Amino acid sequence: MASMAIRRGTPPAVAASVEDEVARLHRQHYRSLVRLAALLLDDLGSSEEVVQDAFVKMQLGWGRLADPARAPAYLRSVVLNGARSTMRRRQVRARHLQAVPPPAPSAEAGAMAADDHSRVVAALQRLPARQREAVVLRYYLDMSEAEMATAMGISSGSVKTHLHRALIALHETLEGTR
Amino acid sequence: MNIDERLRAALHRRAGGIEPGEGGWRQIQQRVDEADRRRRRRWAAGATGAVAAAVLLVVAVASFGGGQTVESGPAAPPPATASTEPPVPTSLAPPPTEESAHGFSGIWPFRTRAELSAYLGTGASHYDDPAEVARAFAVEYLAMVDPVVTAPSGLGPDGTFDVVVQPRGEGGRIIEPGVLETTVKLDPEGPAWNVLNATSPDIRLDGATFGRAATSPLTVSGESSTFEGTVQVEVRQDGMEAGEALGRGIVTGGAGPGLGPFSGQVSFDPASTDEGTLLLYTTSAADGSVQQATVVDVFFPAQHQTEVTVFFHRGEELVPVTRSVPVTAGVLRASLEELLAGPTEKEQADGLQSWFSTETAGLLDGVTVETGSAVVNLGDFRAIIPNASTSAGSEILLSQLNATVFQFPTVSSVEYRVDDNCDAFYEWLQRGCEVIERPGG
Repeated sequence: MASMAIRRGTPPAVAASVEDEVARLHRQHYRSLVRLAALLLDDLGSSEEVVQDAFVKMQLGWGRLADPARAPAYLRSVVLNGARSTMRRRQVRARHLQAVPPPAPSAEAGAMAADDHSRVVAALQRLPARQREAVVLRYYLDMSEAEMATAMGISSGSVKTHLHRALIALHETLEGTR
Repeated sequence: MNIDERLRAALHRRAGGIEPGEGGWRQIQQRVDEADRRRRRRWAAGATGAVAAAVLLVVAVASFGGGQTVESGPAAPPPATASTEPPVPTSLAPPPTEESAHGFSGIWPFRTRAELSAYLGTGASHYDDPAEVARAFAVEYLAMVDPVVTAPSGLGPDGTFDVVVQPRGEGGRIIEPGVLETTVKLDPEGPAWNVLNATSPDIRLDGATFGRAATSPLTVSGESSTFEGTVQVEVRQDGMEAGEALGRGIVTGGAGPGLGPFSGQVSFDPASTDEGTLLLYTTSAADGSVQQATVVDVFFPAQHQTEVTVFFHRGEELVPVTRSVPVTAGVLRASLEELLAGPTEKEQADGLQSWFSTETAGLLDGVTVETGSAVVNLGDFRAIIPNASTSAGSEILLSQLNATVFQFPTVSSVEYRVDDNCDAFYEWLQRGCEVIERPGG
């Protein structure tokens, strides 16, 4: 029998290769991305939704990824965009409801009010979206200003401004409650 | 502890206590599948004009290619030329609607544009040789045993290649040309080749070679010349290979030497995919292997339709236009997909205007609605309609989007994005990112 260049099972294997690659990225990054989103959103359900969105987009657009090695950075950017939009929607909803709750200090945060970590997190939750994002990227992911600028899609100067304002606000809140 | 240290410690501690739930990967794959199905459906409805032209071209070329193949074999039956065989009104559901012209015309190994893109993204070369693709198709999809494959017969006017496959005779001998031939038509997709259809000159099916609707029971008719007149019929959905089928049947046509008419019905189970194939083939009396086959692409029309409304302009007036969509689609999503496909030619002739057109069809990447807040994520069409960035242009674009979104009373606000970025959408319109709230809400 002539040698077969293409054998049974090749099509699923080919289709699966992208899925395999995305699955590998999922194993490596899903948890950390959910954690990143959760630091911005305080809500596990929304965070997972945002991260899943990012993976769906990446898998569907895999052919358009210029450099698969940059997939983790791409995922992070999509997660940040998604989290930012979710925060924006919440602000709109809050205006609608005219409830203006200081953004959702969770039950957990309340129970641990004495804990400094919780105070810091609660203070973070009061920051505007961009400032909060800057703080999380800087202090959780240890990004440089240049990396933050790329991830946030803004200039380094704007990164500095957001971070500076965030730190002033945090300092005031934390020192005032200490 | 200074503020930097406190922030670091607090964030890491907080993050460390967060554990995602199980099932994330499964949910991602479900959403990928859903998105893929939607894209295919949308591509179909959006590119009506271009695809209709492609349908005609492929029909013409398939007929032309059939003639060529037949001529190459001295013992072949009389050739069926395109000029004597206009597409016959078939007993399959007639396909004059948008839905019939589905967008991706290949049947193997790639059933969807997403599959193809995924494959091309890997840089693999499994499908770079049309003769090998035809052979693999014959073995994997048709269940032929060790077929003989001729060199590609030549590039057709539309860039397709015909490759002829034949079963072997007793003891593996090569049988004479022109007998039991199946012409596999392949389409170039970048460096890869994809099978468009397969035709046996001995099993000629009435109607188009792809894009026809199939509902159960399916009536098939045509002409054939086979051993004892028997032709096996199968309906498969996407993902099925040789040995799998939604339904099977047998029709009886001519027993030779000339073609004789056949007509019959095959019932099949409900499909769980949008598309599939209709196969007519003969099998070897000796070992049951497939000897020759005609395979065409079909789609399974949605059983139920619902109506949605989109808005276009006539002069300065926003005009509602009704569209019919499958009930399975979310109505907001379906409405936006219809909006992005733009007014039909008839509507344009009737004075309806929009920035959206067949060029923007299929660019809806996602829609979510969470407690009344909608997020509409679009592919990047900034280069397609650059003029919409004028202030008057952006008003028209936004008002059509907003009217379509806010027709649903459950939507209280909407945010538009390009490639998941609200700033990108509004920068293009020379505005700042905003969440638009329901007028008067």
